[in-house]
Amino acid sequence: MDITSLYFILFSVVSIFIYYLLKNEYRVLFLTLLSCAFIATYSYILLAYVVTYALVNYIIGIKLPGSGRKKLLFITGIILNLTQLILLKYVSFTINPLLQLLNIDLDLTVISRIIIPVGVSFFTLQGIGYLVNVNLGWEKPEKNFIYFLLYISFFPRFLSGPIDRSNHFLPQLRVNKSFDAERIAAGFRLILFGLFKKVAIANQLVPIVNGAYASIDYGNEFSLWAVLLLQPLYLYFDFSGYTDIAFGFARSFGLELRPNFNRPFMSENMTEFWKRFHISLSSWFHDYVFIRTSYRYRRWGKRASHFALFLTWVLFGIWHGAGWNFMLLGFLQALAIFYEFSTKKFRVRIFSKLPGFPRIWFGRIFTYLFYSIALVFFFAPDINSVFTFFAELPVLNGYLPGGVRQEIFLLVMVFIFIILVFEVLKHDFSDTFDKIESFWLSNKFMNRVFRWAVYCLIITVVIVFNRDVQQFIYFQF
Amino acid sequence: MGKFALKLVVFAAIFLVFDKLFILVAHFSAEAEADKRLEYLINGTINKDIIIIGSSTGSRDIIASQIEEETGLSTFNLCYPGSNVEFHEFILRTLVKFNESPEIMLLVVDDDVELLYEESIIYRKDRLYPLVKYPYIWRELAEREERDKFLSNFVVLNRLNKYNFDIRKKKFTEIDTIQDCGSMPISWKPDDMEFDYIYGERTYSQDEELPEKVKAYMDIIETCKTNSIKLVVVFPPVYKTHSKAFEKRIRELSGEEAYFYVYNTDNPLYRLEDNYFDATHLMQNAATTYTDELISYLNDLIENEIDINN
Repeated sequence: MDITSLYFILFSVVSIFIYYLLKNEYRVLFLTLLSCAFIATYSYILLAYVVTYALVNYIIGIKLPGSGRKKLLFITGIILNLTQLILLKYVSFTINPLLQLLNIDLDLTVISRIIIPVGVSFFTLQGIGYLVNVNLGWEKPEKNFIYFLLYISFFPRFLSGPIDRSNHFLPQLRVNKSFDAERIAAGFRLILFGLFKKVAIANQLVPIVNGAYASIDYGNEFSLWAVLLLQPLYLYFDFSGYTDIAFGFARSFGLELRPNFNRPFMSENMTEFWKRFHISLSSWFHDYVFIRTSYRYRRWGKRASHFALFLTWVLFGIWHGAGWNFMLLGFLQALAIFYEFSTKKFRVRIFSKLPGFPRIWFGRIFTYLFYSIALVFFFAPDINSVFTFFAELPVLNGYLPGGVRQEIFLLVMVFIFIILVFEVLKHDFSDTFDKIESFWLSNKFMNRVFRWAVYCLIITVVIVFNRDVQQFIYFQF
Repeated sequence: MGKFALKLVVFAAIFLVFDKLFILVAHFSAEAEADKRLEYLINGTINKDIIIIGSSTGSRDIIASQIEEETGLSTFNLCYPGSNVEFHEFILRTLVKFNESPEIMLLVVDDDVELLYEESIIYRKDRLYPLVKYPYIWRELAEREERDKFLSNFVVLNRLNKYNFDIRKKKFTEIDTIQDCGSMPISWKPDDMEFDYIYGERTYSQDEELPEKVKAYMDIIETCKTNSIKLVVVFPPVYKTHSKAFEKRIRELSGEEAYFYVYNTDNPLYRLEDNYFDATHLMQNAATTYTDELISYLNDLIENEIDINN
């Protein structure tokens, strides 16, 4: 079921009301059943698989604290998690070439064709995170399987995250939630804003970005510079749109998800960028890979951090997909962060002489450009296409790929501009912004009239633009 | 909870009222169109003896006014550049629903991609959107899963797309100027347009046919049969050897329900690059000659001299 579809929205809104009409003790069960129904719309086999996956992790979690062979059980759990991830997502990159080398005529991609592994990269990290937490004693194992199944399968974030932490999500399920109109209204606002970002902005940029990469090997001349500069915006509005929708629904059910975006284009360097962009994933890798690896090899001194840094980011890249381009995507991030870390003192000495405004904006623009270049590795279907993209880049051509009409493109640029201006104001002039906001909120009638008018306009744009349903980018992971 | 639900209902009611303002957009969108042929069709004003249906080859290569002058039968060209057989089926369906059925229908087939996947010929939804003020049109769009039918019943916005909001008066471009008879012959050619004649026997792969296109083709035959329309399948000239394999397949599909007119493949005119705009479209002078050849065939057909199995 597409989460931008009318039926999904209606299904969820009706579910929210039913949820609050139910007694508190039945609400988690209700949400779990809803999530199972949502997964079943993709495939019953996937649903059976997710339930089995949750059950295996649930049992390992229960057994871990009192087990005499705790380490063995923990490692078995991690291996099981990684094996299923490899079997479902990385067979063509890892096992199949190995089988070919051994002359074994077996194509294991058949497994992923049967199961349709939607959301697997996301819930696997949640499963691994849970086992690590329990193993280290950071949290007690969850005793109620229904609660644990909901942690794995919660429908607003099942497809593309944010990647939650068990010690963040599970305790919320035990809190009695009363109907809070303000919170639900805030949830609906987020859903609406998320739909706007996805439908009115990201979907309109799809033909430009995808069109360029789809035909890059045929020697078509496009304005690849425009594609290069647009792709971070496309990814951001697509993914943060999805995240807003997920947050909105979760909030309406009285649950908070872990943050995923925090005005990423305000970042002045890549280290900061990854604290603001896809936060749930980068912080997962930071906490469970970087910290654990640095700690494990702490005797190596500084080199342990360097090793952990490169390992973390290469794995981060591979998480996105089986291919050299993704590995290089991660490696580039590691290189940038390593450079920033190694030259920090020098850079501070040089740039502190500059006034604040140009220094900040130089950092922001440079970070944006670096990420734009890195995203070529993300969007290109393979490593050869990456090279072709950069080879074709010097060809300047005045039209955009994908047959996008100029008026629509300009309108989308206006939408983007307005949102980014708000982000800058909120970030750089937060005091003034807050004052204006509180002044505006003080007049309740005007505030409501204005808000409702804006909602009507946003719904109008969403309905009119929601013609070509486009998959969320992170749906593939 | 009740208060919140009530607030939602009030907002929904206000939105539905606001939504009705967009009836104006739907109205102006239709007014702004330059190509009025589909609207004439819905309004039942295309009552002609001969109708031409097809894609750009039909609109460029066949001049309806010339047929009308020389046969004495009223003729109109309803070919849409870039359209596929599914769209042609829709045009025919609309024609017989709102207008008197023609005596003869010329279906100009695209050599040899009529039933295959071809990026450049599509179901021209962009021709339907400007006319969403007509329930028949938005229902057709909904049928093709372009719009949710249930929602479209009471939300006007759901019938529109973003291009409806461009209500500036549209003008014909130099290449897409439609004559009063509906034809769009081309009388100019860019200097840098070069293409080579492709010789040799051509093959045709039935396995690559799209079921939905085959179904649309069969529906055209059925509609013509039901409405007693003489269907003539027309194979226009192309700057390559005529595909006999494709012609055979079309004849096979059509059975005994259609007449066939293949251009005069021996005419050297169709081997001169100067007579073509590009590899599949004739220039106006050659289109006149080709239309003349077609007229002789039609005259024979009208006088019942042609066996359907010709």
